[in-house]
Amino acid sequence: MSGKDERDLFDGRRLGQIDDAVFTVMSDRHRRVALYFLLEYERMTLAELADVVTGWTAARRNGMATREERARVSSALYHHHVPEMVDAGLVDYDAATETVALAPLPDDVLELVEQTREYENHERRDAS
Amino acid sequence: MTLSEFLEAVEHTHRTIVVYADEDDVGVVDQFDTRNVTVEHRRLPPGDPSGFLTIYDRDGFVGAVGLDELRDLLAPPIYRPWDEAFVSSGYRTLLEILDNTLFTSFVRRQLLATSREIENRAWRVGRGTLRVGFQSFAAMHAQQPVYERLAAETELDVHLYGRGDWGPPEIPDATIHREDAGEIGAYWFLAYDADGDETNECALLAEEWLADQYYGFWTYDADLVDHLLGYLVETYG
Repeated sequence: MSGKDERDLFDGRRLGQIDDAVFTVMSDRHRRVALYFLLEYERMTLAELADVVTGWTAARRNGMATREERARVSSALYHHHVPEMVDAGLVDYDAATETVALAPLPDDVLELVEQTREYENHERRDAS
Repeated sequence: MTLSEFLEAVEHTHRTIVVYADEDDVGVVDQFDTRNVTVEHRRLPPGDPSGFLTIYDRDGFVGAVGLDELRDLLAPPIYRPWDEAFVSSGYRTLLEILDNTLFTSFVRRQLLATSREIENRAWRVGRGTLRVGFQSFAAMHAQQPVYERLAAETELDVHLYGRGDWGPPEIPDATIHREDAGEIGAYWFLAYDADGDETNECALLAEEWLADQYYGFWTYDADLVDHLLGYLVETYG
């Protein structure tokens, strides 16, 4: 990501065009991780999404997660996180197949998610 | 029934491990035996440094482990059974997530750490029966102080199994079983019945097939532990 792009996104004009609902989604770590994985895989079942959010979160705290923790993540995704991401226009959910798919994202939103991902990766590398 | 048949039985309890990691980060799963573990590799999001595994049995998700944490399993801390550090140790959860998973190339230190986790459960419960088999006189001798204290300071019924020509040690309050040939002396095992408390039953069974390379498993499956204990009592007393 070049300095020019970062100025473009964060100088206020373009950020102002992003819906507040997107920032609300981005304020929660489990929702951000779900988005990072959906950017990579485009479409995942709710179960797969629960697996990777659980595993990724465990790895980030140098730990592990049990069946019980995964059940809590799964329930929160289903009842809370995925509906919020749907409402923000970031993903589509197909109840019949319990599949979450990345929605077509405007460039500004895509850039926001990717830059947040880069920031979190750097933060993790600096910490370890 | 033989001890090797217990190993074969675990070969049939299938596990799937999905590795989310960069290509050069996957060597840590080479420990596991392809006879009972299917390993799949998947991509992480770009630039992500936090690799992890997710583990499944026939009932679904069992657990997830960060790759950094898994590396700690390969170089675990060695506590003594009565150390308080066990209680807060994440190592215990890791062992529970990876139970009934056959490993092919664990080293002595890794199995010693797992053995200590079993002995710590026995120490905390303080009752029930602990049966322990050694692969050498040196191994038995090295652990003598541990078993002396377990036998002396708890109500545990401690049984140790070794070869007849290994000679002493004699441990007061413990029962020593000696066999001249066969599988006793050829396997490293611990099995603990937790005095009937199924949540604390545990066992380890391993065989050294190359110098400091062990093949085997550990388990928290109460039925499997009972089966192993029953076999040892019936066969060797």
